[in-house]
Amino acid sequence: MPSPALLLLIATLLPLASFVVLLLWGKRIGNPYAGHIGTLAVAGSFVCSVLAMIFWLYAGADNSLSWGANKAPIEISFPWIPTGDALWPAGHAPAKPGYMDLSIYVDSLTVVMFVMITIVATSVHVFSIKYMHEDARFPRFFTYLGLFCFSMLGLVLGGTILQLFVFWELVGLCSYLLIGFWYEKKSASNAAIKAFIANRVGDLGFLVGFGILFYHLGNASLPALYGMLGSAGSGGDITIGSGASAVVFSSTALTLMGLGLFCGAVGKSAQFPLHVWLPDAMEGPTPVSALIHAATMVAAGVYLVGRIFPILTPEAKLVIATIGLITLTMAALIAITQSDIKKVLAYSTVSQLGYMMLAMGVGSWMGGLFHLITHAFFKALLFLGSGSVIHAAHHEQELPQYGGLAHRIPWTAGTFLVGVLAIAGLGFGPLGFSGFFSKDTILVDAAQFAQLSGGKIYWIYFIVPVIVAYITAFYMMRCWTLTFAGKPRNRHLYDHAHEDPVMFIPLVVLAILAVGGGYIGVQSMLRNSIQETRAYVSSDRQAFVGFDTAFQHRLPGEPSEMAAESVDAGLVEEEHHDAIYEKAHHLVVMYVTPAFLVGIGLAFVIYRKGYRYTDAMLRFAPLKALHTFLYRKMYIDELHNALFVGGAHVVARLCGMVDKYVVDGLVNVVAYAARVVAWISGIHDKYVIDGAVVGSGKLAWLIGGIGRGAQTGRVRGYVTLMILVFAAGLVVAMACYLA
Amino acid sequence: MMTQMLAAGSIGLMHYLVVAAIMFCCGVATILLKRNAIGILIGIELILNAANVNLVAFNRYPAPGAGAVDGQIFAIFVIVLAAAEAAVALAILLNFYNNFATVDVERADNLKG
Amino acid sequence: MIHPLCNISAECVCDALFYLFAAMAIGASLSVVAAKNIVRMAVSLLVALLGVAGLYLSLNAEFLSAVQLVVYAGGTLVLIIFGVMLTNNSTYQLYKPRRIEVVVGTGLAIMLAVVLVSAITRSDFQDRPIGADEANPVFHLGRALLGDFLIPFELISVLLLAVMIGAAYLAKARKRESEGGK
Repeated sequence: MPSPALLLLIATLLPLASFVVLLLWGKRIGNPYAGHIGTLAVAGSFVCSVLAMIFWLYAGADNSLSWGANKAPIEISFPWIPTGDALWPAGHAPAKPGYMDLSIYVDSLTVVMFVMITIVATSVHVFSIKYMHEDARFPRFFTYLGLFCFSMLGLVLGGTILQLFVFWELVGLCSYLLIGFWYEKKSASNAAIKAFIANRVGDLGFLVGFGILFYHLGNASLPALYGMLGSAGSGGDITIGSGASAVVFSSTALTLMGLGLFCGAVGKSAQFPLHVWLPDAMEGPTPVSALIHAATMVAAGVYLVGRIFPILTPEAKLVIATIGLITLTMAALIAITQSDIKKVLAYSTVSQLGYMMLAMGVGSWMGGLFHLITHAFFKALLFLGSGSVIHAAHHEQELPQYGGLAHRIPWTAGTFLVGVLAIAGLGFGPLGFSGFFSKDTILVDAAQFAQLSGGKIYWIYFIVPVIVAYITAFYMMRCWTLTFAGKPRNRHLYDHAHEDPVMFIPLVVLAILAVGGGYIGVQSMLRNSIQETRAYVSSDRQAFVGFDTAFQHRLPGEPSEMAAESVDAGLVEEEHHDAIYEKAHHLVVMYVTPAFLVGIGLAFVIYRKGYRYTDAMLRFAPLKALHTFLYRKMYIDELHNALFVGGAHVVARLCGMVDKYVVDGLVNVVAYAARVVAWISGIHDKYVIDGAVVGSGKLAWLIGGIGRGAQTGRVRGYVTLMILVFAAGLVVAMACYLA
Repeated sequence: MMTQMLAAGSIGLMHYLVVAAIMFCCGVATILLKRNAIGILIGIELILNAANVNLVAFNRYPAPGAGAVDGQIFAIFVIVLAAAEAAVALAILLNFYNNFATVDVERADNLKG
Repeated sequence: MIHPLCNISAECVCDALFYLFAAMAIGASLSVVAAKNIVRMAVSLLVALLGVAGLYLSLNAEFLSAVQLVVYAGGTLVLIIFGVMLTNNSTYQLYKPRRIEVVVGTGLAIMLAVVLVSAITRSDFQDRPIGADEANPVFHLGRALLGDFLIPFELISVLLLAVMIGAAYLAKARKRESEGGK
């Protein structure tokens, strides 16, 4: 049986191989074979990932193996960069002192992420073959996609923060290349640059966090971090090592480290205030938006926070939750008013990412990552659906131009509706779309968090997301209704719309996953991941408590004794905890389950007739003002411009004024003085010096005339003479020596 | 003396110096005989290489008190300078070619007195 | 020390290699002098450079040997060939030196060679190679470059920068002029 680690490594390298092949011979292979190569490679990755998952689960049941699902992760590491043993006092006990490791770390989370990424990537590849087939740079597109898949899988496979960072930058690069894929469009190249810069701002924080981490620990591999900083979740300073060589990692530094790493996630996962790049990134081809800017890369930030979850301090988590809260609310409000179908989806992505961050912050580790997986499915579905619409509508993206398209492109309409229902969270009790389960998990945990935290203010982390759940259902259904229902608003566009089987097959696959994503065992895999980490880290150090601050949920259909075993198990009594869970669950069932009904129903009623009712509403001035405020994306772009670009301008102008009045003034004064002195010395020159100069000039002329004959201007003549003299000198020297 | 130099296992400093000297003379001859500017450049490269062989050979058979790798360091510097010189010389050459449509150095006699 | 593969002593192999490389270097240098065609000269120079790289190897200077191959054979020579190509119309145009120049030049070179070789063979050089353990050139080179020779090392990097800018400027000025001329 091949090791899952090997299979996953192959899965990672296959897209790299396709990248290299297409980079070297892409043009010659041409359209559409380049697309076939890329698709085959990533489909191979998918097969490898599924096999790895099967072997992983099988290994968990096999008693002869020490690793596997629910047992322990696989860690294969090599010392990579020695950073000097001298940095470490003797007797200090980090796992491998002074080494940057290069490692592969496989646990259930890795396996799940691999399967998710490769499914979405394969769908997007298949979709792109048709979607991009008219593009002049078709092979180049698949080259970039291959590089992206490699980087994304490498990011998930890597077992150290440093590797994570390297691949993190690589996916950022691919994102930049693909957003600017149509670089002839000024807006696309601007969007690419904006994305790149926003990400760099975040990555600066990442580097600072990594620096703090590495300075204290001398190691960056995940198990080592968990082992050394596992107790960070309960607050307070952490002492690493013992005796004289102990290093104190103060709680302030820990918080700063966590926030620094989180900064990277803010950039990559488009959280407030760095979210501005993601809506602009929609300038890229739509399959790219589906793969990179909805399903995988933007989720990398959440993945990172998930990986460092055990070493985050409570303060850091509170900040994360707050940022998530701000993001999800703001993005959902903006999404209501956007008129570009892709912008609506982009803001919905930002909002859902906000949910995931909120989940991480309130301790819903499983909820956040579960939502990451389900969101990847239904958001990739929605984006590919929008791609199909845009393709059908000949690259028209404005909702006011659509309407009634369900008759022309029924498969797209149907699958898109599935996506809308999934993101809205349609479901009741044990039955539901994938988004229903993941969103409920997050909200239940948020309610538990609010109860456990004491203060009333913490309820904001529950109430606001619940309200936003209603808004989510509303704006997604608005998008669907305006596109597919009602009467066609652009007759010409409507008559020419058509869909293509190559494009809707991936849609159907993703739709099935969006419906059934809640049942395929993602949650139990995530729980396995916690168990594996706990077992592995506890095996050679003291008991690992890093995940004790995370809520662990009962799975659908599981008896309640198994559930809710954590939350400072020692501190909170079992019954008390059950009560908290029951209350949270009750609240969610009461207030969240109707969300999709209210939101979807309202949106359908309002937008069934196109813009007729909303136009009437907009005649009311305050609503109009609110609409403009939201439509202009809350003026955050303008704010950034004013603060940073404008700030730079002000500084530049100040410098200019200093130059003009202070420096120039001084220079002018000096120059005037010089003029006066020059006038005086001019008189002296003219009569005294000139006489001498003219005399010596005449002398030089005379001597030059004599020497002139030797100057033939022929370089080789000079060289010959030089060598002659040199050789003659040598001969004379030899003669003297011999004599 | 020649037989002694050719005996097995007797390769020493002197052998390298002789090779270098011959290369040096070839370089000098190239400079003297070629009228093509690029040919002159090639001659200069030969001379620099001859010097480098000397430096490295002296590094292998050091005088007492010399650093372990001083000769090699100098050789590295020489290589770098040679590369720089080639670049500048070719740039000048291209300018010259542009002005005179030839690389014959005999034509470069504007400095004739 | 007998090489296990055949019955030739290691010294013998070393000697043979030295003579091989020396022959390469000298033969190619002579062919540079003799060649009429500029492309042939460049190829001969390449062989001479390879010979010198071999000589470095036999002198325990592996790093230099590699640098020689990379910088000279890979860089400088390519530069020269570019020069040949860019001054293309004269590649096969032969500039014959005058006879008097040939006589004077060859005579001078031979005289120089005779004087130098006789001087070398007469002088009394210390002829003991440094021990094998001292000869870990790359390690020492690295230490020396970033230690005793740090300032020259940095200076030469500045020089390279200046050369780069200078060469670019010269090449660019040429272009502008030719455009202006037309």
